[in-house]
Amino acid sequence: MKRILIIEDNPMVVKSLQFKLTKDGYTVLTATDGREGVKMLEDQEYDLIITDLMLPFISGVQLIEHIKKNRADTPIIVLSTSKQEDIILEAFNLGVQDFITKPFSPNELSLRVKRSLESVS
Amino acid sequence: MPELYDYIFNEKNWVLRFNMICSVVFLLMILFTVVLILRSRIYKIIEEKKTARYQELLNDFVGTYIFEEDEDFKARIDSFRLNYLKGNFEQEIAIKIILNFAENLKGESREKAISLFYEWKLLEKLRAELNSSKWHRKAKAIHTCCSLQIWELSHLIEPFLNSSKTEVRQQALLYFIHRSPEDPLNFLDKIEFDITLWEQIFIQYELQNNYKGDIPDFSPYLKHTLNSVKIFAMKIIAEFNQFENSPNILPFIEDENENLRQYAIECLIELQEPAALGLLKGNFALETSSVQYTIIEYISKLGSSEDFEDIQKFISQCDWINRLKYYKNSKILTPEIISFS
Amino acid sequence: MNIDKIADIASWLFLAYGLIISIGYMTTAFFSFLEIRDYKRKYNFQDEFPLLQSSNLPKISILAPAYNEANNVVNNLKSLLTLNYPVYDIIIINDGSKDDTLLKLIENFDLEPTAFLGNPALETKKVRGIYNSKNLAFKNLKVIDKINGGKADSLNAGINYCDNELICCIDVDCILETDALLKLVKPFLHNKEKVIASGGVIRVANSCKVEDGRIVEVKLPDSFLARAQVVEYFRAFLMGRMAWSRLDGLLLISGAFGIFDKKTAIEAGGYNTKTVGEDMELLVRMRRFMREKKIKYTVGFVPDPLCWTEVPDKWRILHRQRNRWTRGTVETLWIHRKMLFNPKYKILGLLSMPYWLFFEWMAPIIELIGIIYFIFLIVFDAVDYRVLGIFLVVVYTFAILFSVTALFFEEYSFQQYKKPKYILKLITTVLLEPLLYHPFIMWASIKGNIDIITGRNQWGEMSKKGLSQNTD
Repeated sequence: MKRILIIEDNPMVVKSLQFKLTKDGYTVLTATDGREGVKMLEDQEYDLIITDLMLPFISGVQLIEHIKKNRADTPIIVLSTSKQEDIILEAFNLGVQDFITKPFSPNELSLRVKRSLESVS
Repeated sequence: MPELYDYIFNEKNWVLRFNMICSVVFLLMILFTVVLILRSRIYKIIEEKKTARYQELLNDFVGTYIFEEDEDFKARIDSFRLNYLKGNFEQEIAIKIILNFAENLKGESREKAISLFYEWKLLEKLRAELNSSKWHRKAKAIHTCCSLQIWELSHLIEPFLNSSKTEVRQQALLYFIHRSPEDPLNFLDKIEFDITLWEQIFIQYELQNNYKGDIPDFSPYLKHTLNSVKIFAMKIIAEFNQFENSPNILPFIEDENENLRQYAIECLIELQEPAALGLLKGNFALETSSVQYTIIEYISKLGSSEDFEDIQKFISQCDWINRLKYYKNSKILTPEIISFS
Repeated sequence: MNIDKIADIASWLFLAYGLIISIGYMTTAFFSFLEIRDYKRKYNFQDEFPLLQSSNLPKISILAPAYNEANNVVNNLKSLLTLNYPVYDIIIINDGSKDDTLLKLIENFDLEPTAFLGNPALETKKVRGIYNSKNLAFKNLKVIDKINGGKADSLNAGINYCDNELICCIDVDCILETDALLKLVKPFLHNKEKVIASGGVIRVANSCKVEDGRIVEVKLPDSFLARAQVVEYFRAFLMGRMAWSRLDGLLLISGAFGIFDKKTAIEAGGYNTKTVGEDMELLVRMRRFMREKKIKYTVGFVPDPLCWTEVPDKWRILHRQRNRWTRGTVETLWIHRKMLFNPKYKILGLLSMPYWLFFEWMAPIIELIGIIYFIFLIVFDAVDYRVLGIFLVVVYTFAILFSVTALFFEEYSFQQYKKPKYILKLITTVLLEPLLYHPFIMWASIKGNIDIITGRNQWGEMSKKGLSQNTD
């Protein structure tokens, strides 16, 4: 079973992602801020990381830089609002696979996750 | 204690008695306040825990409802409502959670979240909040109606467009922008007193960022009765580059209201409409300070150095702010300039 | 007229004064509470800051006078350059520093002199030069170099040569929250009436952890003196100015951080260079100007903690500061004495000015008279120690009550001091303050009055450690 790490501080968004992706058959683990996310990345490996771009303590971009340094092969999908175009661009420059803007459709998310995982394997 | 009481109340000198009673009262109030401080701190922690627990419960339920397609939820929904949504506190959190889902999801999932709102009969709660005498409750209720797109209560919200409380009015404006996709500003016809700068920024932001329909032509609002709406129309025409409306703006540069003249010129600057140059130069000498400032800005953006020279003879009569602006933009050397050797 | 008679009358007078002051304080507590409660209820449902960024907010010019600030000016300026606000510029006014403040600025920010216009609106000491930066990264920086003339004079020079419609006057070593300008400009946006000024709450930065010019951790000051000032600032801001703002009778916007409408400030005459209380005097004059012109206006106040400043933690420096504040109060009251009890000036004339006169100014004097009276009673062996005891108890308990209420307001509103031990420390400070701190402040005030009468009138040297040293 593929393992997905979600780094997001809005509990509702976490819940939604968790529900949908668990139903799709993945193992889902969560972190509520950048620091926790970094710790969890150090402890284990994941097949996909979904992260928000606006996190407390560490910015989404800093987090992506960290992931790319330590787990360069793991695909990343970023969550953001549509106002953050420049940050999304920066994230793409760092090598993220895909992005989803809020409000998001869980079905669309499902497809993008599937696509990202397939593109790697 | 009884001795102390006797001691105080049997005192013959009433000033002394008064002071002693005051001391005791103050002391009691100090103790009360200290307890209040400590209670406030502890209460906050307890409240936060309680809220977190409840939010977790609701998040779970709503999430399950949205994403579990197979189950029959009707019975569960009713039972949840009867068990967990009895009081105000619980209902408020439920509304907050549903709002959160509705704001972050789209499509079918969002519809399901909103349907839960109705199933839980939270509409009645909203109705009650809108009729509340407390402004902050009203504002919150209007915001919820807007986010969940509850249009059936718009007749209750319409009077709030003219509420004296800023927050309530703001939410009502927001509500009506989203209410009619074809004509997002039609609520302006119902406004009875001026919209503030903040409200203008607010409406503009909504139109630019959250409004999904076609941008309408704003020129009809130039004929509104309120000056602030006319000014707002000018700003928004400039912001959305409706340069075909320049002919409608031009007459305002000779309006008797100073603000209208000023904003009309600013609008023409944004629209890059040079047709007013001659008229503005001609009117410069007799204009008020604020309008002169804007004319100088107009010339610097749409005029030439000859145009600056044309008004140079009037500058010495202007106030300092305008003289400084003129010098900065025209760079014409006058005896007043101090430069380094 | 015998001793008893005098004692009686004196008692009555003191009692009356005490009663009025108590009622005054309780009224301000009541109004402050309403104001804080209303502010808390402004939910801000939408995330306002993207909203405020992308719009046509009024442009602000930050004015920061600098005198002998070579040690701090570069760091402080760097933090000012990263404030969150769409369009603003910074004007540093080098007030004839004797050290190399100007040189440091020129070197670090790539400055070059530019030509400038003479005969400005406000008269100031001679401006020697105006500098802009060659570097695009600092294009919103301007430095005015002038002959020394004091803080008010420097601010006037800044007002003269700044470009934007709003001026923000700050002390260059204050620490601002990143969103401070966005929050403080809000009252200008609610322009049902013209807004001429907006002020906020000043907090005590002593012992706080500062990184890159921002407060990263709020800590209660280690020294008793600074802690006593924390309590004092709570009383002044959370119970005093909030109430006055609600009644629209605010007389003072702190010179450490405030925004003013430039045009109105110029028309009212700019800062008064002949007083040491220039911040209070300007606002009173601007308000008076608007009232006399019969233009409807308002003054905004934002209770959010936006600005942090280092307070004196040495008794000597504190004395100088309070001495100066007293002289400033007296000068302002004297300059605008026409407004006192004058119905033409509404709340300002009928409530605010009298309050400042009888309570802010006179309270220390009444206390001194009380002490002299007490000595007089001892001399004539007329002291009733029971009366004295009860009187002291009532005064002490009232003082504690007022301070503790201010602590409660802080708890109710912002709880900047999060650790539980801080509350206990603050309560201890409240208990000791009337005994250890207050008499000193009273004396500094009296000395201020004496100095005014004897004609001494300067700012005095205020040496500051520099906040960058407060890191763990």
